[in-house]
Amino acid sequence: MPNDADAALMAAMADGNTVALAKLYDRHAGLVFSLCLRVLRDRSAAEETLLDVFHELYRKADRYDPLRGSVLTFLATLARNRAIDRQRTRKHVGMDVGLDEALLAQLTPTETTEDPLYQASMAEQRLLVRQAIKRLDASHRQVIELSYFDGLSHSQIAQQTARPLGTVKSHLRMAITRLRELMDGRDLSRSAK
Amino acid sequence: MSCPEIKDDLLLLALDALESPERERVQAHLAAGCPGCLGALAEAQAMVAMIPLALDPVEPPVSLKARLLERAERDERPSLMVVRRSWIPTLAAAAVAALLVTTVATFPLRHLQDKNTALTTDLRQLIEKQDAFKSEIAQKTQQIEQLSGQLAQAQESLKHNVNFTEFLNTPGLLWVELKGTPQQPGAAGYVIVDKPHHRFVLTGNLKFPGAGKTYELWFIAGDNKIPAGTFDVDEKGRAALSAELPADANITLAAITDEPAGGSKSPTGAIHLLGKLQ
Repeated sequence: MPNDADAALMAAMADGNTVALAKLYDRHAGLVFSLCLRVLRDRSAAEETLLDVFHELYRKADRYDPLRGSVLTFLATLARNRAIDRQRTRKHVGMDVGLDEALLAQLTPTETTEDPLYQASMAEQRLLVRQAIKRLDASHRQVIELSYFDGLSHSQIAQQTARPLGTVKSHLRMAITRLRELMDGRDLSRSAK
Repeated sequence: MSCPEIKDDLLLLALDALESPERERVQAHLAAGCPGCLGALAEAQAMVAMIPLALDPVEPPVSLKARLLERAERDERPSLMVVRRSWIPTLAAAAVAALLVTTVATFPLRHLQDKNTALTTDLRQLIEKQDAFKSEIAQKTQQIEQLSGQLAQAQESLKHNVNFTEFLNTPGLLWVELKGTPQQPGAAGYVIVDKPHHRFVLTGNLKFPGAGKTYELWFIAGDNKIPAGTFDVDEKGRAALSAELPADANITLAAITDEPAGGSKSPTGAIHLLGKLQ
């Protein structure tokens, strides 16, 4: 079970086991790196953020409580927060944070672990999430992406999408609720196309 | 706020998209410890954390993993930093931490102090040995100087003996026996004359001439008393003198008198030895 394996690795990391850190890195570095790249749109910044995230995960491994959520949740939340923090800092100091499409096109999607059970589990979850997001309305998908990946506030989203603030708030609330329904599998058929 | 009213806000909170004042209201509700909403928030956070799964995973550079592990290896072990586990009483944790800090902090110092003391002792012993060596070297140097002096004397004596032996092997030597006078009846000696080479050697045995005095040899030709050299005696009374024979062909006597130190141009003291040249 991926969650059990991740929790065991976290427990070993709490005892200073760097082999466990390497193993956990192998399992999730691809996901964290893609998330950092998506938020930062800069390979170098994404690499540094990736390093910081796993280093922080290692240092805070003793604080991880399996009862409060999976390692993947813990890691994804940490990675998103760190990436958005770095992106805000970069914007604040006036760095070019535009999307480097050419660079992103060169990036090679890959699995970073050879554990077949883990790969199968992740592939299933990835398919579920992709289908769920794909079935969102375009406007809902857009506000979710602007909020989650770009860390924009309601007013920033309103400004960027040229929609009233109230509409943005309404769309965001409906989008996240709808996404939960889709990811829970409660209403996949309704929006399947 | 009731729990049903909060449910949808929990999703936005998990998405980090809930803004004031709703955010504060929801957080206040959660801070009150509502178990149902706390569980719902955990579920919402898990759902939101799934969103990046929609992205294709991208392989980071291989070097990053090595950098990460290198950075982690440099860290303290996380388990050593943990002191807030609930089952560790605060005082015990503080005591353990203090003990660890004290032990870790003082161990290198004590180790260095012990090492310093040992090195100081070694150094003191080496200095003492060095002083002993210096004293021994000084003694040996003095001995060498003494031996060198003795060697030089021996070499000089050997050279003298070799010369004397060569002299004694010279053909046609005239041996003039010197006999003690009433002034010193026990005295005796010889003057060995090598006329062809105009040289002579005196050897004899006399008493110590007295403080401020020396012995002087005279060759006598008629009324002419020719000084031939002064000499002293050693602790055993032995005397020796080697010099050029005066040119006067009418020398008939050899006499030895005591004279003031440094000798005289003509005899002033008593005659101690006297002999006839043939």
